[in-house]
Parts: sequence; C-alpha cells; structure tokens
Amino acid sequence: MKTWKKVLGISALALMTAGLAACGNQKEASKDSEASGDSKTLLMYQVGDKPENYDELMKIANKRIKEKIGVTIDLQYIGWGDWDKKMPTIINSGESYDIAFAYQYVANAQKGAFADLTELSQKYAKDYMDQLPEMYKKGNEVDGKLYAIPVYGNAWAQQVLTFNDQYVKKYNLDISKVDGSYESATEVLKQFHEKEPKIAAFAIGQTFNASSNMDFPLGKDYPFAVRLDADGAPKIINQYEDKEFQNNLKTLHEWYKEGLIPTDAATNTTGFPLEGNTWFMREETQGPMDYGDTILRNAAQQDLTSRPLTNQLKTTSQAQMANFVVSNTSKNKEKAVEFLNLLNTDPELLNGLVYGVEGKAWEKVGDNKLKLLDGYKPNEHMAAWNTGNNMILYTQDTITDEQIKQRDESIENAQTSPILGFNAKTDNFKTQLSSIMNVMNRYKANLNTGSIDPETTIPELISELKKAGWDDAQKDMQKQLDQFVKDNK
Amino acid sequence: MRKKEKVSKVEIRSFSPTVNIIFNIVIALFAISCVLPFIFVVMISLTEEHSLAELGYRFWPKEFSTAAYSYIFAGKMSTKIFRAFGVTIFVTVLGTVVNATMTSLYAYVISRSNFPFRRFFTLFALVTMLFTPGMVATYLIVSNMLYLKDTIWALILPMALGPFNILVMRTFFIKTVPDSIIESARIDGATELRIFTKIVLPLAVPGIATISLFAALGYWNDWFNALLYIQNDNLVPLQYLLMKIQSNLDFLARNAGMGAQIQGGLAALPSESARMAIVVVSTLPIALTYPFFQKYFVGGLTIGGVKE
Repeated sequence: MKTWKKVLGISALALMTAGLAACGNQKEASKDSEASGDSKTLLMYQVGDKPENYDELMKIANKRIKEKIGVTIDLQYIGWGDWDKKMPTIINSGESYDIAFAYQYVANAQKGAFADLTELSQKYAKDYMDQLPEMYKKGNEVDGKLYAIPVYGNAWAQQVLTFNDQYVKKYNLDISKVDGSYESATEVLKQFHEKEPKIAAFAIGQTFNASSNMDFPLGKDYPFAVRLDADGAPKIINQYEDKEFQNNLKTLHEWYKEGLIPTDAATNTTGFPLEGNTWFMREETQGPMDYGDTILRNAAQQDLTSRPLTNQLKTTSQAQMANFVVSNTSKNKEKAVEFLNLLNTDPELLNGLVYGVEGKAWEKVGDNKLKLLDGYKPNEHMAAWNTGNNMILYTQDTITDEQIKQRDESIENAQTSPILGFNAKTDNFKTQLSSIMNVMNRYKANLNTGSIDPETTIPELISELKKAGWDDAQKDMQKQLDQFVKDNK
Repeated sequence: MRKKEKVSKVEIRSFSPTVNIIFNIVIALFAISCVLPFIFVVMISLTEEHSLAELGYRFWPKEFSTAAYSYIFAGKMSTKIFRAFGVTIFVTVLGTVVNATMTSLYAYVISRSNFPFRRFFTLFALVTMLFTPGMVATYLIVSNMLYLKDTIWALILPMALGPFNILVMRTFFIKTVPDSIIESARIDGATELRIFTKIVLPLAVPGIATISLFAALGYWNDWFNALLYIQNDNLVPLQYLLMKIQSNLDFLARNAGMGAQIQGGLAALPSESARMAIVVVSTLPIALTYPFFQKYFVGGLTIGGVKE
C-alpha cells in the first residue's frame, strides 16, 4: 500500500514534468522545421484590432503570397492600447520577428533594432520604391540610411474644421466663410451657440493642440516649431512666442469666454464621438486619400462638411505615418522585403485585404473601381492607411474621376515642409527636454483649450521654459538643423 | 483593595468608548469607500444607455435596463466573453493548485531543521524577492527559452511560485507543526512523504487556505502575462479582455483629432454600461469566494505573519 502510493505519486509528478517538457519541445521543433524547410513563415507584427474574419482573409492572401514568392505570412495583431507596452518588450528582448509596423521609428533605427534597407529595398523592392514619391524616401532617412518600407498613403496632411451637417441645415448656417483660421469661424459658432447653448459648439478636450501653419520637429506637444514661410534657412522658434499662434490662442480664449468651448475642455479626456450629435464643430486631420470628406463621413456614418484650416503640408511625420520595418534579428530579411514589395504592388492581394473578400464584400466594376456589397462590414477587412500602397487600391464607385485627378494633383502641389526628413537627436538635451515637458504639462491644456488668458499666461510660460533650459535645447537643435539644411542642398 | 483595582485596570486592554466609536467610524468610512465604487459600477451597468448620456452617473438610475447584461450573455461579444471567462476559471483553478502544491512543498522542506540545505534554499527564495530581473529578462525566459508563448502555461507558470508565499508558509509550518510530532511519527515508522501528507498538511490547512487565496486572487486579476505572451484569441482571459477594451478607449480619446482612416479602423467598442457589466461579471465570482476562505483566513494570516 505504502509503496504503491509512493509510486503513484512519483509517476504522476514525472508525467507532469514530461508533459510540460513535451509542450516546450513540440513548439521548438515546429519552429525549427519552419525555419529550415522550404515553406518559410514570416512573423509580422501589426498594430490594431484583428479583423473578425482574419482566418479567411489570411487564407486567401497566403495562397497568393505563396504562389508569388514562396513564403507565408503569420500576421499577428497587437491592439492599439497594448502597442506601447508590448512592442518595446519585443524589440528590447531581441526576439526574432521578421516584419513589424514601426514602433518609434527613428529612435529604434538609430539603436540598430531595424535592418538597414537602403540596398535591400533597391534590390528586392525596386518596383515599389520606383513608384514611391521622393518625399517618403527623404522623410524616412535616418542618418542617410533607409530603414523602412513606407506605406504610400496620405502624403500630405491638412487640419480642417469639420461641421455637423444636421445642425448646419437645421439652423441654416453659412459655413462657407470659414477658411484658413479659427477667427473666421467665430460668427457661425456664435449663431449656433445662441440656438443650442447646451451642445458643444467647438468640441475639444484635454489633448487638443491649436494648429497653425508650422511644422513641429518634436511633435505638437513640445514648444519647438518651424514656420513654413521660412525659405532657405528654417529657424526653430517657440510657437507660443509666434504672433500668429498667439492670435489663435486669443481667439480660442474669446470662444471659451463666450461659452463656445465646453467649460471642462482642459480636463475632459472622454472626447466627443464622431458619429454622435453632441458637437457642432471639431478639428480633424485630412489627407489626399480621404477624398475630401468621403472617408470621414464613412467613419461618422453621417453627413459632415469640412472647411480648411491649415495648408496641405508634406511633413516628416506624414512620411513616417505607416512604416514597415524588418527586424535586425530576422533570418529572412530578403524575403521580408520581397513580401513588402509584393504587398505594395499586387492589387489583387492588397485589395483583398483592405476591402475584404472579393465577391462577398465587394465586386469589381470597371478597371480600377469597385462597388461595395452588403457583405462589407466595418470589422471584416484591414485598414488602408497601415496596410499597403493606397495608389493601387481600387476606388469606390462613389468617388469620381475628378476626385482622383484632384488627389493626384494635390499630392504634386502640396507644400513641402522646410524640415522634411529632419530627425532631431535629443541625447544632448534630454534633461532639459523633460523639464520642458513638465512645464508644458502645467500650461498646455489650459492654453490650447482657451481656458486661461494667453495675454498674461504666455509670458509666464516663456520665462518658465527659459528656466527649464529651452535655449540650450533650441541651440543644439538649430545646429543640427543648419547642418541638415547644408547637407541637403 | 485599591491596589487590586489598579492591577485589574492594567490587565483589561481596551479602548475607551469614545476612542472605540472614533475607530469604528474610521473603519466604517474606509469600508464604505471600498464598497461604494463597486455599487456605483453595478448601478451604471443597470442603467439605460441614453439616460447615462443625458443625466450622467446616478446611484439610483432613472431608467433601469438589463441591456448591458444581455449584451454580455447573448450579444455580439458573448462568445468571446464566455471563452475568456472559461480561460480565467481554468487558469485560476489549475494555477492555484499548482501554486499551493509547489509553495507548501518548498516551504515545508526549508522549515525542517534537519534539512542540510535549508539555509541555501531560504536565501535562494529571498534573493528573488529582493532583486527582480525586470520585464525584458522575464519575457526572454518565458518566450525564447521555455517557448511558452501562446500557451495556457504562460498564464500559469510565471506565477506558480512566489517568495512571499514561501516565507509565509515556512513560518506557518514552524509555528504549527512541532518537531516532536514529526519525531513521534518517525518512531512509528512513517516515511517522509507520509509524514507530510498525513500529519503536516492537515495541521497546515489554514495556512494553505491563506496562500491559496493569495494565489487565486493573483491569477484571477492577472492581465499582464496575457498582454505579453498571448496572441491567440482563444486564450485571452477576462481581465485582459477588459484591459484591451479600456486601453482602446483611452487611445481613442487621447488621439481624438487623428485622421478619419485611423478612426474608422478602430472596431466598435462596447458602450459604457456594457463595460461596467463586464466589470461586474469579472469581479463578482472572486468576491463571492471570500466568505468560504474567511474562517481560515484570519488564523492563517496572523500565524504566518509572525516572524521567528
């Protein structure tokens, strides 16, 4: 009895360990065979929510990819909210993946996490690279090298003021005069506010940043900006010291005092849903691939009209909007680049991913046009902006040839930022930058939402910024920028 | 006589009634501050969605609705939620068993004074408590060395043994199991395994119940391991599902002005009351297990908390 129990106990333990070990080994074994066998599987990380018919989409896509270049893709989605936590772990641990949507593109490229694609892209993705406008190549250069295959999408961006059509129609408001500045919208906002005092006339929250015709080398949250009209020798300034920007803030403060901006704007983090009717005017970003308000209307599922606020501008952040990088740990760098080329040049593959299953979600009408069918559902396809070359996507039949012509012309004609391709190295002024951020955190939301008077606050902010070391940071960055301009002449 | 009175006063260690009342009030306030938010959550989950938008949060909703619960149990997400619920229960049950087994085995061994390596193994456990390796190192071990990524074990094994529980159990064994009992069992001819299973374990039930509760709570509430190691939709636990919804919402709010293409790419998210209903569903079961552990809990924790 005694020994019997002992044997039972020990054998149970042994079984458990063996089972565990088997689990591990099995995985390892399958991984090895994949790497050495003929049919390679490339591991690819993508940001966003997995489409609900993911298996179906990938089955169709993988069949095509295998036919063309002999590999299959294991596409793994990482949710929007998890992205910032998971991707650094994957990169820092040196895990072996092949392709990823770029996370902190410049910083990680400088660290050596991504493979240098300058030559690889010329060799294995020449088709696509030849189609890609110059701005994408220039905007993605890090220290003279290219580390990404960018998605050709919204090459320029423009801030617009978007109006809720149901209110515009209901109260017969004239929004045609709104053009190019916040100030031009004052009249129509006031009229609306009289009629509907309870609905947010200008719907903004804590994260709102006032816009102006400037480019921001470190992003809009930092007080460093370059005016677009600076020809030849761009100068880094503090946007809060700029007259035009100050005037915008003054306008916003006026609005706030009149009740056109919600009183809790500086603390509100919940936002106003695009598809709701809790707002009258909001600020949105648009690009050429939005075909005016078409995409915005689709997302909102209601009629909207936008009026321009800033110029159409090609910036570094637009060029780096959706980058795909190849990991330096990847064992299949060539195949990875080859796949990215295929994804961006093969209309059948890309349209199948971005619009869903052909025949079920859409059907082709005409050469490069498609019609959406009833089977088209919002979460049964991938997103256009972060999947592949938007130029080879078929356009919906609701989009006219005129619009497509406009799109192509606007990409040609849009203004280019004087600092396109400039990536500031912040190593020398890291401490100053974090003190600057602390100062900004205290003032930014209040100033940008118009909650406090800019006349008295801005001088305060500027002196605090100087104390935090703004001058040092500006000097260092200006030096880098001068060098950059010289090198690019 | 006077002397005697004085002595008895010293022996009775109680607070004066005023102090007692004050303490009671403090504790009551604390208890309310713990329970109130949860009641709030329950009430929001029972509120009609549009009245939530119009009137805001209320303790007594104007319009009751069970729509949020039918969303969970019959709606679009129900299969996902049920699956996640199953994963959570499985991980909690199996994980607690694994954790309790490993902890008590380890702790028992280092509690025995005649075990030659007890010092080493005690220190071995202590060191991991003082120096944590950090996330990247842990990630490397779990994903690249053990190949646990995308398996249910990735949710169980990283939390299977904790130094804190080991120390609690070790003290517990030392305090509640006298050496003489073990000795007498030895004299009667019991083997080590028999001593452990027949004598030590029954004596240590309160302690094991305590650490089991710790472990069960840990497993139930864990979402971080899932965040790091789980890609497969079928292995997502409930808490991670909640976290995902919440972080997607945060992302949306933080980047309100971003392009329409990006906004359109975000999947439709459940409404406020539905999210609160998921919170209720994910919290209630573990809260309900408390009363069953209660009777062991107080005794187990106090003995385990005493250091040698």
